[in-house]
Amino acid sequence: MSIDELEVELRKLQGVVAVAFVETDGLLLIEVQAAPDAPDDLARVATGVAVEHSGGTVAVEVVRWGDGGPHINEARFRLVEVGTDLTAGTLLVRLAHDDEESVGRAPTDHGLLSAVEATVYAVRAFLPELTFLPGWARLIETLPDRRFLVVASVTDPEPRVNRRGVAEGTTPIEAAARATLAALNRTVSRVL
Amino acid sequence: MRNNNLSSPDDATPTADSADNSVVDATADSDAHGPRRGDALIESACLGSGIGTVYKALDRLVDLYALDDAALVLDVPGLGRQVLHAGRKPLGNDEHGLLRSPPGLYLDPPLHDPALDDLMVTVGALGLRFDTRAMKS
Repeated sequence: MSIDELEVELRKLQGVVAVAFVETDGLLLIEVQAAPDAPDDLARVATGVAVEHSGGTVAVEVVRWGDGGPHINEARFRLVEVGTDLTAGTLLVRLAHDDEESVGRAPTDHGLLSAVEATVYAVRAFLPELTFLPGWARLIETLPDRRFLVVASVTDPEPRVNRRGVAEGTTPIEAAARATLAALNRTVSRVL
Repeated sequence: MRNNNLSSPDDATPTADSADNSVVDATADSDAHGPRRGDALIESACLGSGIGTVYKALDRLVDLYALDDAALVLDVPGLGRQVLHAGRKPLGNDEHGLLRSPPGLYLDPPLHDPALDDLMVTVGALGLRFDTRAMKS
């Protein structure tokens, strides 16, 4: 039986959500991720299927998750909304991380850069040690469905590192905020 | 990789770095001295298993767009929620959120392309349904 057939047979077992294979030193290690409703004898049944079909030395590891799985901290910030405070003349970018939210503000008269600034400030509310500063943003394309493609750049002045991100949005401002987030997320995900 | 570390269909487009890579890879797809890399995917779809074809499609995406990782979350009749990770790799400790994520294509870095998401989810569900039926007979 091929590895494809073995994987499908394992996935057909009740409660199996994911199957992975690692081969080291002639040993085929099969990792089976199981949902909370998986039967108690899943490990025995899965091992039987694996031994029957692998034709070699095999080990099966069943990883079970409780209801809803383990709580995982998010490794990225999410854009919740972009808004404007007309009375204050500021752009508001609201971000979320896990159950917490932050708001960054910047003067609207900076144009697209306002979105970059407000996004950086919102990230800094979560990470005060963030060294990246707002750089620039440019609209590079208006898509046929009236979506906007924007490139945004942020700069860490000390090591002179620039990070750029590209994103779409329903408005250029929203796209700029998303692009800024795309630029920052790959850096900040290491410390979240 | 976890689901938050990958793109959901609603996530933003990747950084310029990966965008640059995708341009390079698009041209690298044709090789005058050998078959196109996509040929293996087409051959698998014609002759191979459904699940093998889905994995090849994920690998192709990773290769084409120079991604760090890719995973597909599916709801398949008869199988329920299924998560397929590129390269058949085990899920890392930070990737288990995929097990409770909604169906979709999860890429790291994100690549906002709803059509691609829909196509991959469609191919994935079709492939697994095909295999479960073919292997019954």
